[in-house]
Amino acid sequence: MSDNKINAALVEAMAAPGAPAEHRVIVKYRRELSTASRPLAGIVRPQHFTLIPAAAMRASPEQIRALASDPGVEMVWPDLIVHTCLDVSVPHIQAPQVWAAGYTGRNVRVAIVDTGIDASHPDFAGRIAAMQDFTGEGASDNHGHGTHVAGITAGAGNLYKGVAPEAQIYAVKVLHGDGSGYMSEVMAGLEWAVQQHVQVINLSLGGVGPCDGTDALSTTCDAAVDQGVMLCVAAGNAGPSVSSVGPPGCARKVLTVGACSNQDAIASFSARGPTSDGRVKPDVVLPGVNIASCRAQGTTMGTPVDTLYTRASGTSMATPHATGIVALLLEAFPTLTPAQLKDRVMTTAITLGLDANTQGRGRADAYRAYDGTPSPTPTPTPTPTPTPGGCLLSILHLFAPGR
Amino acid sequence: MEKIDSILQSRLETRPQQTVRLIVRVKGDLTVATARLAELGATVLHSFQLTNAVAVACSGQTALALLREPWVQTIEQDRQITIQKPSRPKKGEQR
Repeated sequence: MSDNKINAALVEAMAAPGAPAEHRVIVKYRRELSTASRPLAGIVRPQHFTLIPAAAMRASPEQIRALASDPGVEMVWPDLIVHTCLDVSVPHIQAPQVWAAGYTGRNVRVAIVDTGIDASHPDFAGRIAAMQDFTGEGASDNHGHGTHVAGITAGAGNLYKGVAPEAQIYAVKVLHGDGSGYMSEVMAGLEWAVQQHVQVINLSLGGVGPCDGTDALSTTCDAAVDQGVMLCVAAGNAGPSVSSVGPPGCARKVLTVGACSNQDAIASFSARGPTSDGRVKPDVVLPGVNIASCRAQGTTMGTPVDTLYTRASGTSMATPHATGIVALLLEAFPTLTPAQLKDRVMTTAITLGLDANTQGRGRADAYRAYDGTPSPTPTPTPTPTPTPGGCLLSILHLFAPGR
Repeated sequence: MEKIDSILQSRLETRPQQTVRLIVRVKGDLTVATARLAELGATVLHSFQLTNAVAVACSGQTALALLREPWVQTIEQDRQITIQKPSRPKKGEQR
């Protein structure tokens, strides 16, 4: 009976050959039990929680069984190791397999158009090719967002390594210390990046949707693609509402990126299509939940891990994974055009079995994009949920090009 | 295609003295257009080769006058853009 209170994974861990003498466990108590009367065993610095009646401790298998037999105990769980996530998301999208094939984004020119970058961060050492400011605040990152984004694409830390850790970084500051700016500042930053002959641009920013891709910023993005530059753009965090992708995520020629977890579950906040002229967006999704990456000195964005790293969520964090994948592809196949790059990332994505206006073609994968492995199953037909005022969008969607 | 969104136009008409930030897409030579914008009282903030456009700050009244210029293709608001800011994942989306 008491064994029923021990989580099955913990029972298995305790019985495994070579099992440790002690296990880290979380013990859940009956709610009416006061903290003082909670049974504890084999404790090393017990930690009591308040949201649930529980405590964490280390205990031997005998002590765990004794705890489980106590009527005051409801459940004993293993205190599992939780990975901080750039070390999870990057292997999850199989970037290390592309590195093993000899491609790390070496010398590929990547622009991070954002809040600037902390150039003193060791994970970018020797790889910041240029910095430019369009805000009047100076090119350094006084918010933290741009540094975090850059780390996901091109950080070269040991634990928190980005997707393309040998790419050249062009840091373009277009958003102010409060994380906002104007379309025109972003457009100016894009023009500058194109003039520097960068090969791929990351835009983890946007305005309020819906949009049809004809606004000035989206048009500029498409014009940059016409100049041969690949753009990866965040879908936005206004999900799960239908048609919540904002500009420039609705631009026609860019790769628009939504967010999923490291377990390939779509993130609730990830913006959904279709665009207001009925096109499917996003194009793909990538991990964007609790991603640990570089922290700019003196900033507090996200949940700091330590002085050098912080954790954050958003399509802002999903998009630089795509930019990193593109950088790997550009090193391996330097003659691919933006349209070919976009097609390659999309057609090799792994479907999550969701509506196309939620997942795009699925979760993109670095190795499959490199290898050219096509998606095993077609994406299901999108059926946008009708919403007030959404009927016209649905009708437009039915007659959208490519359907 | 209309030169201006009707909502923006009525806002300019309602508050002609208020300063607004706009993006003006231009037909023809951008340098000539930039000079003419300055003549009309607009402050040119940026000019864009990729889209043949200019970002300006001007009064609503000046913006309405721009609509009558034949070289003005479209006028739109220079909208605010933000980071796709880190949001708190829902319960169960922690990893």
